[in-house]
Amino acid sequence: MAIPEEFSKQATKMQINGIGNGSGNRPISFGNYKTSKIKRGWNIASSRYDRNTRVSTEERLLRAFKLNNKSITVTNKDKFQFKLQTATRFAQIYVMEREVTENTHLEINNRFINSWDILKNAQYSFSAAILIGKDSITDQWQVVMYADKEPSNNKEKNVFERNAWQHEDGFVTNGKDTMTIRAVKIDKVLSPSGKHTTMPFAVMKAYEFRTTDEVYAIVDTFGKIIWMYNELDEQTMFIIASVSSAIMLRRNGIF
Amino acid sequence: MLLAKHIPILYKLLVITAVLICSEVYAQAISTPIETNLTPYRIKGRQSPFKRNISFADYKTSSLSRTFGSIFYINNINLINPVFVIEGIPLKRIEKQKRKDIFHFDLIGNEQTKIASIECSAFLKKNETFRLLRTTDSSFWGTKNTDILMAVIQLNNDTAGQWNLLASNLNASKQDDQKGKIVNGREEISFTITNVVLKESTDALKGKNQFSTLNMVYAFYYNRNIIAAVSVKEARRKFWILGNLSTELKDVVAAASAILTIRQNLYK
Repeated sequence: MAIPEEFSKQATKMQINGIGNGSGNRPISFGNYKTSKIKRGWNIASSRYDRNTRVSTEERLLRAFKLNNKSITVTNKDKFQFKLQTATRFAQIYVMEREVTENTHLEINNRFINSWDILKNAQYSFSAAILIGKDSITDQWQVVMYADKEPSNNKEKNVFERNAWQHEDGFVTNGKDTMTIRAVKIDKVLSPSGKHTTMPFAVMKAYEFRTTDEVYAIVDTFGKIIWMYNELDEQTMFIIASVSSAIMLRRNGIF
Repeated sequence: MLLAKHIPILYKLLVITAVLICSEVYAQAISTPIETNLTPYRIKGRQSPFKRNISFADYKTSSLSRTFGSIFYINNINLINPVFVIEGIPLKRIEKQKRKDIFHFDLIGNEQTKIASIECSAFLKKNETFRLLRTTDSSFWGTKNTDILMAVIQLNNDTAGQWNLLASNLNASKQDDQKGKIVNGREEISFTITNVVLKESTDALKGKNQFSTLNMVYAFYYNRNIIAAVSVKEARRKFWILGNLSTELKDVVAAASAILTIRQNLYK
């Protein structure tokens, strides 16, 4: 991913080592930061027939055609924890990911297709608790990132955009200070031959850590690189490193 | 037609896809408030059409009973529906049905004291028409449906403590907002379905109390601020409430949350 020159000139580039596809237990490292082995919980998925929240046009048509359908809610939950440390500081990081999806479930019982699910709505949450200290824990930070989708609300968009996550947003706070986390999506691609192409849908490429008007850091999720602004104090850099490593180690990250 | 004989459901789905492409667009704005200062509580309880007592926070329901007509119902028969069908594809379909859900229960507090008596009645009058070969009118999207829920929350056996709840479209029978109001003549609490970022747990162990997640909830607004929320979906139901509310507001919101959790889905 191309980083604007204005930012890259004043930032430190840190390649993340040992990450693989981000779902393993092996420790990762970047710059002066190193994690412990990743302790992962079970990635639990459960589903149940549930109360209907909204009736989509698809569902109304299925009813008119006398095709029996039910609303099914699928919950996918994952937890992991690890320790991030430098020579002077450490952070104990607890992470939870949850995705709740509501589908219209149709039993077809045909020899070609057994069942059919139509997405109604979904909510994704990524949340982390970061306990930071030098000798003992002195500071607590909370990370929240979230997104939702409801394809029936975006019928004017194309099929890719309709099913894409909306209202993606996030923040990291300790109750007094807050940094926002913004997802950066790119739909314009520059080929090696220099040709500009616009894709039919935007691809998630990076996260920006920022205050109102300043970008503090950029996490390139494809290149697995963290760019951090040089003028930041050590504590802020450490918080950004903690959040970035938690983001990169997600198993179900959807945006 | 050979295709219709061998794979009837896939054939119907093909026609549905064609109809969908020509269908109207309905859009609803969604915002995402962040309310991590509300305290979360798990809603525990039985799931049965005959008895559905629940407990959450310092509250539990008791003496829940439903009328016979809330459990058993008869569909209206319309002669047009079986006639206007070719190879399983409806040319015209008229759906008319009446359903109701009438129940009452008591809300019990922490020390087995009765906090409120609640009487609730919900009515759904369905009147929908689908036409395949003519422009589908607005009744297909439920504009002719009547979908209301009314309840009386009687606090402390005192007529001065009576709150009335009125909600529309809770069964999502219309392409409209699902919302309601609770009033007592002096004050008003409104609620609507929305996605809200809320605290996941109060468990302080290993930083779990710092987790927050996005939830689809009925959010209760008082003076334009969210003071409480209750899960819409049955899976992992939760109730969230602001700690520094007055006892009366807490009790009213708890009673309304119990109604929204216990009510049956009438639009089937």
